[in-house]
Amino acid sequence: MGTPEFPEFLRPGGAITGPRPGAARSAPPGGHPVELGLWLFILGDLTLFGLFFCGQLAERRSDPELFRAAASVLNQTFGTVNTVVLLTSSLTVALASDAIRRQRNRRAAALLGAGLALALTFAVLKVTEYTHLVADGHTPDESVAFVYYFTLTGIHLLHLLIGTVLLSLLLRRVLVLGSDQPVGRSFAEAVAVYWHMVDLLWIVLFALLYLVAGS
Amino acid sequence: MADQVTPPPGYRMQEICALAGPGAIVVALVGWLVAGVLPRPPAADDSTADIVAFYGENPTAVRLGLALAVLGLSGIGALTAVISIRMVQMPGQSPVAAFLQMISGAVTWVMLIVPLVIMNVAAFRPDRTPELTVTLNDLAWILFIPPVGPFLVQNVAIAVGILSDRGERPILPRWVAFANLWVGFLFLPGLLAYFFKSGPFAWQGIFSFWLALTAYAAWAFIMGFTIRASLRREYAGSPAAPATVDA
Amino acid sequence: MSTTVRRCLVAWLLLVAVTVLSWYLGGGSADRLGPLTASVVLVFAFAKTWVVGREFMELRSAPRPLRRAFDAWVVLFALLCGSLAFL
Repeated sequence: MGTPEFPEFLRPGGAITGPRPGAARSAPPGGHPVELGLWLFILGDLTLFGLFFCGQLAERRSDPELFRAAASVLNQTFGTVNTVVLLTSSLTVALASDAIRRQRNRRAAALLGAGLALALTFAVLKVTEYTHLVADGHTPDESVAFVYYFTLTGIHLLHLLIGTVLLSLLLRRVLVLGSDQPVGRSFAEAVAVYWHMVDLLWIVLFALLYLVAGS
Repeated sequence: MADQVTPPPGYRMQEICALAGPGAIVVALVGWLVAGVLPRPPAADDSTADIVAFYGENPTAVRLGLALAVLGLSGIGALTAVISIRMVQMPGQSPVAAFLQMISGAVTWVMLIVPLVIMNVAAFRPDRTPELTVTLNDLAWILFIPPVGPFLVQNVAIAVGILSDRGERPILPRWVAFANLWVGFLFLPGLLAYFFKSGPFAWQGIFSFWLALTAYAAWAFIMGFTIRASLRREYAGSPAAPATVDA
Repeated sequence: MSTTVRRCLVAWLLLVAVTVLSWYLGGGSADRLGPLTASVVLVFAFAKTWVVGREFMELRSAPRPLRRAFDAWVVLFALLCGSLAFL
């Protein structure tokens, strides 16, 4: 019997529904099924970052020169390369979602692997950039512009690392299942949407910190 | 079939525990208002004189307000207990997430009240050397805002538990899981309070104190009221309650 | 090549092209952006987020209220950032 024995007071009204792996998730009428709760999280996190963007720009109004100085130290080419890296990883993850839907797991695994490699490339480039900046004496102690640069990119990097763990979990799940077995849709969808959010946030961060700040 | 489900003996108690969460927030906010922590908390870049004045000008109000907040926050323990019970009841998963939630919830209760007690230590002898008052104030706030770990673990444990609920009608709706993850993310900038004395990431800043306060208050209300709703749905004898289906 | 794959590839090409253009405007040509160029770069950035949401996050086939909520995020923060940066 799969039903665990709990003391009386822990039982839900006397009835424990047995495990129902793969229980169907309700799809809202019209359009393709999405998990609205997931979007509560995504839009919420986007809004948190939106406030970060506004905070940085509001701070810049009081002393634009500091932000110009910071942007002039940043390497725009580095930032551009990282943007392209993340955009490409988003592409591979989007294609992997499509492959998972078509139950082409080998293809999905290859695409997810590529996405993971690009994610790690981004992280390595970012850390390299940090190392160069700190070696040249540009730390958050230098000015409020660097405070914003390091905290916003740092929080973004943390998001990216969480996304990397999620991608690895999804990849493992796809590999364990082998070819042609359906992968749980809601997890795959959540990981993909989260990953695209990481990409989306970097697009704005790149524009604000590297380009607009220098104007 | 007399299908009026009789609520189990602990039902009423569980409902009270659930509402103790939002109640704790209300009492704590009133306490902080009395103590003067709200509307403007003492800041990391306040001068020594300002900090001494905060504790020394009206020590009775500070003592009373903080005592009230510490007492009120007991509701967090009650809320943690009922979350644990509801999580153990979620079918089809190991109770590890429930126990992790229980442990971390207990720790968050401690982490919420100890800083307030330290503030009360500062207010206990307002005429002591000013540097000591500043140190106690730093200790209280750096203990209060940046150690977000236990809070994060609690949020993630709740989210994992809800998302792996295999019941036909999950005990808590899935959006509550994602709301927990979001709240966890909102706590993250609090970590930066270790590094800043002024600006939005310092402990008094909008991305530390205010964001964490809003997120935590919203969390306690969400958990309290969704758990109460889940209890009512299950035990109040509504015809759709899954409890009535079983033989 | 399925429609989804083709759409993703087109979106990616567009996004990379706009990124390179932004880089050219920002760092490539002059050492300092004028306010006009900077505002173009900001508009590009939020337009890119919209494309990522619509194509990669598959919002184009999502229920209408959700699509509207995402559009609202893009427009709201584009306007807020634009006015904070340039007014």
